[in-house]
Amino acid sequence: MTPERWQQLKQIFQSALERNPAERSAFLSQACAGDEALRSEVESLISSHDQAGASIEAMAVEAATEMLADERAIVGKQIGHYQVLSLIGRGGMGEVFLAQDTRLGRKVALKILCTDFTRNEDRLRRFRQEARAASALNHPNIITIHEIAQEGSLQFIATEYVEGKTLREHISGRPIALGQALDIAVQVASALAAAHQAGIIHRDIKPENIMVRGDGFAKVLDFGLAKLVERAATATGSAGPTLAKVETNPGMVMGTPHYMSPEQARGVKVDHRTDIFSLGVVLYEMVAGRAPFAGATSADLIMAILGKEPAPLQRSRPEVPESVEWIVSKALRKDHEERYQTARELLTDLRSLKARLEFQAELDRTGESESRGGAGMTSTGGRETTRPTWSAKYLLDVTKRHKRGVAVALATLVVVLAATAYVASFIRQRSQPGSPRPPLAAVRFTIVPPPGTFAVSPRDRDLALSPDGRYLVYRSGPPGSSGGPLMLREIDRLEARPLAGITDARWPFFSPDSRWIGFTDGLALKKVSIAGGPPITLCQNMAIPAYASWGDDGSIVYGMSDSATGLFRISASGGEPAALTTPNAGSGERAHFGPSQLPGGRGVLFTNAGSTIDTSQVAVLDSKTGRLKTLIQAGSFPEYIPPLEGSGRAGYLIYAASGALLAVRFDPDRLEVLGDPVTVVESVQMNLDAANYAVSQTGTLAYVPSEAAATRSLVWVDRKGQETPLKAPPRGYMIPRLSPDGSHVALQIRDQENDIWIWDLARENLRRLTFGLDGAFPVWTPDSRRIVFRSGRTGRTNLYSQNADGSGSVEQVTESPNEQYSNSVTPDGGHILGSEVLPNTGYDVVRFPMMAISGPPSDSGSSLEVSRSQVEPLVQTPFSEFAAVVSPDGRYLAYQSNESGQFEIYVRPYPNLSGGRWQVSTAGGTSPAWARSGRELFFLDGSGRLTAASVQTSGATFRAEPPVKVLDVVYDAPYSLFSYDVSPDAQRFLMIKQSQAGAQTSSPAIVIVLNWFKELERLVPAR
Amino acid sequence: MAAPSRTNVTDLLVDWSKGDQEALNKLMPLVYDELRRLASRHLRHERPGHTLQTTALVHEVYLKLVDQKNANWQNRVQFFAAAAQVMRHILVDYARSRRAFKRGGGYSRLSLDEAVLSSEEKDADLLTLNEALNSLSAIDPQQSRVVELRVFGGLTVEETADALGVSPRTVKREWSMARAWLHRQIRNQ
Repeated sequence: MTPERWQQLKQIFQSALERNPAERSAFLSQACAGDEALRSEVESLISSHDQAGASIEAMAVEAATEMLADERAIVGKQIGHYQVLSLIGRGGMGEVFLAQDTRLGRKVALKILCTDFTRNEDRLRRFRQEARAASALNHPNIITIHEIAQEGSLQFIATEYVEGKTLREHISGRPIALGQALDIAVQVASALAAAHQAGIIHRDIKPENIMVRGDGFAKVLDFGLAKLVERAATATGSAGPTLAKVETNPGMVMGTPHYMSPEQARGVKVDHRTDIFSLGVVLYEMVAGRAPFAGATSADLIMAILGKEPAPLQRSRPEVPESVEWIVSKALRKDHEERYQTARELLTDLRSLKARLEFQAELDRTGESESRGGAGMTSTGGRETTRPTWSAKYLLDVTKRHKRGVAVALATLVVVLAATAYVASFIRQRSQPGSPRPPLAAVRFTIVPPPGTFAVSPRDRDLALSPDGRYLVYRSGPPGSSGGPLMLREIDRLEARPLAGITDARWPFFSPDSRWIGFTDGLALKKVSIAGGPPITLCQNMAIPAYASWGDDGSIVYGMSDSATGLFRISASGGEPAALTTPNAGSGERAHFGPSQLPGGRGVLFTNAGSTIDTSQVAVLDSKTGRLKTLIQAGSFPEYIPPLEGSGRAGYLIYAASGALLAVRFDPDRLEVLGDPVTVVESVQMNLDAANYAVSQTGTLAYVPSEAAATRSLVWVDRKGQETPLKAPPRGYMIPRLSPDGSHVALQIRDQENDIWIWDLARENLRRLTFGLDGAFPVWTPDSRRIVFRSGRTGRTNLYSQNADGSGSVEQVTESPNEQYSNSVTPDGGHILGSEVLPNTGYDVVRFPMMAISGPPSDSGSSLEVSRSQVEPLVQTPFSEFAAVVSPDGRYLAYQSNESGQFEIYVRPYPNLSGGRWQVSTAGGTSPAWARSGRELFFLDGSGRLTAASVQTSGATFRAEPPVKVLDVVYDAPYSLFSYDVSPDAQRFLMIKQSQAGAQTSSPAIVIVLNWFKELERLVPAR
Repeated sequence: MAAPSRTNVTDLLVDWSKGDQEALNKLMPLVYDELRRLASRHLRHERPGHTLQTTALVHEVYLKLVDQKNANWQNRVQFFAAAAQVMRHILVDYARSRRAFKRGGGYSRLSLDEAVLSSEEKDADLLTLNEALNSLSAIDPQQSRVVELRVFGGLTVEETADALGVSPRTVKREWSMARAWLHRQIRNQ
């Protein structure tokens, strides 16, 4: 209908209504003037008007009444230890509620299975079976299931409550930035790779099943759901017709068929490659803004999936690189034999493409003014949310936001209860000596100790497994506490019990016969029998609580991370410790610790710690020769697992590096590494002092995923110690740096890898700046427009810079084979002050010109020499100098040096450093920062407390008052560099705070992998 | 989320009236939460079968959220206008999810009893109304806004007129035509 005609209709209708019904006919004849269609339209509307009454209003009222009546039954009630807060949606098998876990104080999504579902015992049993399979999944990109349980007649599942939107809501009919699309695809592929590895196929990958959190983190929901629903459907009637129905009208069962693979559409048996196809469809849709296959009906759509090639992506977005097209088309091959064969292959391609585009796509587009709106990785890859308008779309988002937990995976369950029986039988089988090891798949499950009973700390190894794989012991107490009681749990039981008489334990370890637990208690080394009885002291006065290992020759070997000492040996029945090794300080060895004794007293694996985690090595002490041998260049905290019977002589050397666990074949007789290491666990909590994992000799793995440790949040603290939290979500924050104009915070976030993110203080959003660059040590330029950071992406750690708003390209600023750090930019913006690790003098303060090296990083020597000549050493000694910052007036340089034996803060004139040298700190000092006024110099003292010295920089010479503590709380670990910043008025301090348990973050969990051999064998095959 | 302060909501309304769309983004979730919370509580304490008055609900949320001292007529109308859209989407989402729930889950086809069927019809009605309203807004945006404000926001003719900046007479006329058109549209589905 044309607008003119509508207006005409409206006028006549309204005039007619205002007339007496008797007069209407005459009026219409005249008004419509022979236009019969118009007249009949008006008459039809008038008749509707008379019938309508209050029916329209009633619809809304009735719906509202029903909705609330529906919720009434459960909302507000207590189910188990969950307080149900509100209904957030309905899924295939029940309703999903937002609930508060009253024990852990966190929000969860609670899926309550409908009675229709649970009434059928057979179905419930199948459901639990399925759930057990799905429980094998433990991955940061797969939604975490906390619990499955029953309360009265209610069967329910508690899962992680994901704050975010579904990818469907993100796409909503328009393409999203290429960088973001790849970022999401990488995360989903990573989830699929983990699931497929565990033998789980998703079968229903689609945008509705992918939640994207506000910070860009993607979580895949509903693993295995499709299969369950299929089964249920099959069970409803005779198999034949139901299946036929599934095929012809998949909407009935599978939801939309848009994302089905050809084999799924045909109804034939599918394998993991169906998920690869579906992810291809999702990626296509993210990039193109529409699905690759379309059809007016489901049948047409399926025909398209089976027979049509999708339109090239470049038709929708000409700027899309060829390589994206290539990856998508390889994922979308009709024949699954031609597709990517594993999600890991797809993941690898996506990751390398993402990394490549970050550098290239931007460089290709030279300085176009349009660059902000383009498809470039850096310009639109961030988490810029489009500003919603006063539109229905926005409202939809609002309402949907409250349904974020809706699509809770029915089948992705950590079925601790259901799995327990299975685990128990498994362990019994395994513990029978001589019985053949059963060919079972690896089984993962998660233990979430009640709050306050797992004192997970990034500095300790807080757990141990008995060599026979039956027991887990972990340290108790509030998270982050430094010592506490020990909890012992049989892996196949649900309860853990405290070991009597132990109050201040750290570093637990088991005896080879699994009957004793060793630990340090204060400064004593003790042991306690798991059968009970008081702890027995082995050694009274150790320097520092130590990381120890009990060998099958009856000796305990230990070492200490914090002291420049080697390994010590003591008899497991007590006595005097004897030094076993001595670190060679001259060749950069800081300490020997983290030992793990090899079977038969053949040798001791240990961590040969360098100055950083990257320079630590896995080494072995050969007991026969007394010699040390380096096994792995960048790695720490080794453990050894003997091989499965009948699979050769070589076992596995497990070790930690870059937040992951790696495995490599290891010959325990020759003490030789065989082949290349492979990442076997992508995320484990670790730092310089410990990696939080343990293995049993039976191939069980226990570890704390790093996500649990990354629950750090940002908080403003004023000089009275009053805290005001920022709204930034808890993440693995490190190094918060306020922009000079005080509007933004640059942050290094450590998740799987380091990257730089920007928190906008006014708009309160967190945006990712760098992608997969291993970005660290961000610093602002004085105009608050650019960020300089260090990146280890090319294998070297050099400095790069990028516009803080994400526009423009990433530019390389320095190039050197030496490790470099960015510490500050001079007030005139002309130089970057940083640190370079030189072969002879270690960490030195150096100055780099603020100038881009053109072109992407290359291996050619020429540019290297050019840039080398531009590096100016400022403070160069055999000691470590670091963290150089110039005062606001540009006249003095503050930095930290350990020339006195510990780090202290020193000040020198700048740029001519020879005119003096003043020590400002008195009890240790790192991470100096000047107040903008130039009248105070802040730093962290040796205990990690924020401290300030009043200083005078205006006179002819520098003067500093004795330092005074500003905050009496240690916010971050004492060795964390730049873990704070100072507000422009120097009245508030931006600190990183470990989240309290019970905040909206997940509480620390322990992941257990039984029969880990299955994975090791596949990932690290014998040669 | 902490309970929204009244001043906060009022300020957001003021900012929004000055054209700050960001203010609306912040306002919506507050209104949404309060609407739901209040509605739940209402029903928990009422007799079964009692129907819910959306009008009363929206008014109560308004009183709760908006700082009365600083509220002016303009605020109030804007608030109701916002609430109307929120309410519409809550209800439509609800009906949609419930329909999916009942039809989609495979198992439910086993037990489609009387009660399920009848409430499914109601869901269908509301969704049909929503679609019809979308069609109407394509032809006559103002008429569809009138319906939205009156049906989902419970605004009176005068309030609707204020919200839209038209005369009450226009609202009355638009309303009667829209109602007739929608009724016909739904009936013909």
